Amino acid sequence: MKGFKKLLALAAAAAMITGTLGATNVWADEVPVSEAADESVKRGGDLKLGIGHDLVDLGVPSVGLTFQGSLIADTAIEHLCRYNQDGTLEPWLISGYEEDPDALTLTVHLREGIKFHDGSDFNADAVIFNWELWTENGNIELAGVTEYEKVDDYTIVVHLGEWNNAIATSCLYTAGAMISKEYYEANGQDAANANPCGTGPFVFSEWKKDQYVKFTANENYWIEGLPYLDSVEFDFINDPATQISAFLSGEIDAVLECSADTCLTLKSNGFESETKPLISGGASTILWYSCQDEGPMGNVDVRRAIASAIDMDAIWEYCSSQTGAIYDRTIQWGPNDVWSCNPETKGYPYSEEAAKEYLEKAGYPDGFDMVLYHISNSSQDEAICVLVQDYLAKVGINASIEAVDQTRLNTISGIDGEAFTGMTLSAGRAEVDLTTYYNRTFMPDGVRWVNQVDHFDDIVDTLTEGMTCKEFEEKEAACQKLSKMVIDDYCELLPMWTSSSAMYTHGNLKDHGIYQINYIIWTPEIAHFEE
Amino acid sequence: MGRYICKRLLQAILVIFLISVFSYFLMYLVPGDPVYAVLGSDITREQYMEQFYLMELDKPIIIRYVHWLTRFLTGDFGTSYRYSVPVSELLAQRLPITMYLGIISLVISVILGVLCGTICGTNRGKAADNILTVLANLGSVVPGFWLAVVGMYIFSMNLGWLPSYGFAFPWEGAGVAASLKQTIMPVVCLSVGSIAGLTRQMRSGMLEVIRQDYIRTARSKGLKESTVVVHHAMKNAIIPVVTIIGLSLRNIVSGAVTIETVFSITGMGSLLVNSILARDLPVIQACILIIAGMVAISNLVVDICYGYLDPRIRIQ
Repeated sequence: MKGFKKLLALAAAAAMITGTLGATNVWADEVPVSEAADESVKRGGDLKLGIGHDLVDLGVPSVGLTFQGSLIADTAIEHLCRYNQDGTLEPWLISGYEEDPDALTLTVHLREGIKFHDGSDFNADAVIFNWELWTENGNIELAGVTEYEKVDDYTIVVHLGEWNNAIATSCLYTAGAMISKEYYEANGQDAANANPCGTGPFVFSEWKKDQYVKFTANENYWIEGLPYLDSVEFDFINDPATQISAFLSGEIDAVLECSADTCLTLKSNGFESETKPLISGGASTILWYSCQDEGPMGNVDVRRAIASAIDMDAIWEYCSSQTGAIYDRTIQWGPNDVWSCNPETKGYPYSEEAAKEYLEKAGYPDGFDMVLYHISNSSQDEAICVLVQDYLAKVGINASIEAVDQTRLNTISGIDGEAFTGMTLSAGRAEVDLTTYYNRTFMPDGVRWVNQVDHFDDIVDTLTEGMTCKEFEEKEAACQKLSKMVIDDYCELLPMWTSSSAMYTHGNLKDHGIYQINYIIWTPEIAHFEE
Repeated sequence: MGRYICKRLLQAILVIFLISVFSYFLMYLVPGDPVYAVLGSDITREQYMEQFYLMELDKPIIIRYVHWLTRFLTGDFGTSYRYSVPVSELLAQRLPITMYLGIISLVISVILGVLCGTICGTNRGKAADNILTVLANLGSVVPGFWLAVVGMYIFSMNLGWLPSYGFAFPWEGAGVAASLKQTIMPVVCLSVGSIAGLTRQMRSGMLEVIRQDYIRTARSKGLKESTVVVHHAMKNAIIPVVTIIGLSLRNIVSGAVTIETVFSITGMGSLLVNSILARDLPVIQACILIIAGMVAISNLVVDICYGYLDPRIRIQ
């Protein structure tokens, strides 16, 4: 598996070198080969997916959809580009794009003849509208854009104030989910949020809050002959016993985002999760130090002591054995075995002696009291905190565990979060290009954990360099340097693993793509039932 | 009687008002910034401040409470933080589901509970009494969620007769048969405890009444046994049962959290729990006041029923 991952990483690096940075990059204007309709595939069928989390936003991606919301919205709303198996971007609603770092431009060529579900045209106006809406809704990814120039109905030139090598990812994927401009303007944001109107293979049919979301096949889908299925329905089932019963009785064809209890039961019934390692992005589980604490947590040696005191490998083994999801043990904040991952970063291996030495050095030989926050509705997080508490107690650190609700957690991690003597267990994004999400935390004007981490000048400079350099080698070096600085030098956070969620089917659902490439992507247009 | 009702009504209004004050102030004492409850994480300073002023967080809490109460009394329950829709719209979706299941459950519980209790009371020590009493005792101690899981295992997973989750009204797209199938297990789980409680209470009441002189007099007058039981015994035995029925009335609007969660039914119970978890203050306030109002109304109805069933209470 490791060799395979390295191959993928090399392929990703090669694609970055030839594709994303510096060079001109144009694709032929044709339907993606892998997505052309296959006449031998069985057509029809109503797909019912049971999902463990309900959602509140659906139809306007720029308001900030959850992982689950993004996955469900993906049924009707398509991106300009998709991630492919090697973690690089593949044009989807566009025929190609060109980056010119010297001219500070990104030129995007749109596919012609595509229509939104309301019958309006997918064109430059719609794309520019979506990008502007992204920024209007408070997202920072396109903040460096100075102008969107409409060359013609199907060509746009994005002008930047200074070069940002993540601009293609930001424009074409992160902010690249396209909804109908006409529908939004005619009905407003609330209506658009409740009625996802994109170009996708399925047309939104009904959303009963906390109960289900239904889609029916788009007869006018732009790839002829697709989709194969007649309809897709996401049913929200929170209770583990109900998830198991609904799946085993055949009421649902697949269950995803399921609890650890569900995973264990399905495993004992002979089912295996279909989740694969998510090379292009997953969720990262992290212990966040409150580095700006004026007490012990502000001392880097105390943080090193904590990192050394916890046997993270043992906790990882325990947690990964409990679920069907892939838990990829990581030392760094990001996926393993990709170009941004620094093999020189060592972290702090488990050693009680080392932990005690660090505490002595920091002036806390007898330990200290601290608090350990975790989200209240996760039994796994609670179990992790109990294990961490136990390890810390062995070196004299007395950690009290406090379960907090999402609002409290958002307050701690938000722009007004206050430093405290302790840590918070929480999840974060984990993607190949660190610069697309490290800036939200490590830049002084960031929005997440910004008052918990320290904003050292060298970190900020390296991050800026990583975002603005023109050559891939420079970016790779900056990302790897950043990774080492954050973990080894300043010990700003303690990553545990990257993961997705478990996903079980009865074996007859094929080519669904759920949790195969990215946490929030699936391939509804080619999903089908086998005979 | 009119004065009695007015007095009870004023007491109910005072109770509801006090509940509204306590619940409003308590929710703001919970740690965590309410702005983040609305906007989630990753927000900029501009977004934060815009929402801060929109929620009137710059004003004293008493002013906010007065504004909220004024709007509430005019039918404006505010907008849900979590769902971004008017709370009244949410309640209009959720309340009918809970009321539908609650009313069916209550009707079944009252009919079966009173009937079984009467059978037990009039057949003391006989086989029917013994069997029903054992079943009632079992029904009282078995939790609804356990019944739900067992029911799911038997009727969904093994027999495939009933669905594990979901709810639709008979007049909705799924049809009457599908709706009926979805309704059976939740209603049974909601009713078993109530039937058991009412049976036990009714049995005790009947045993107490059936030995009274006026029952013996009725029998000695040559009245039919059914007339004695229905017209003389039941009317007196049912007074304590009315109290239990009154307490059950509030479930018609508050729902049963565990049952709704297990069967993924989007009623008031699940709405209230999800809103508490998401710190959705407008929804929490509206739910609490509606439930408090229902409790007050059911208490009032019970008091009036007492007066009807036992004139001595009216006179006192």
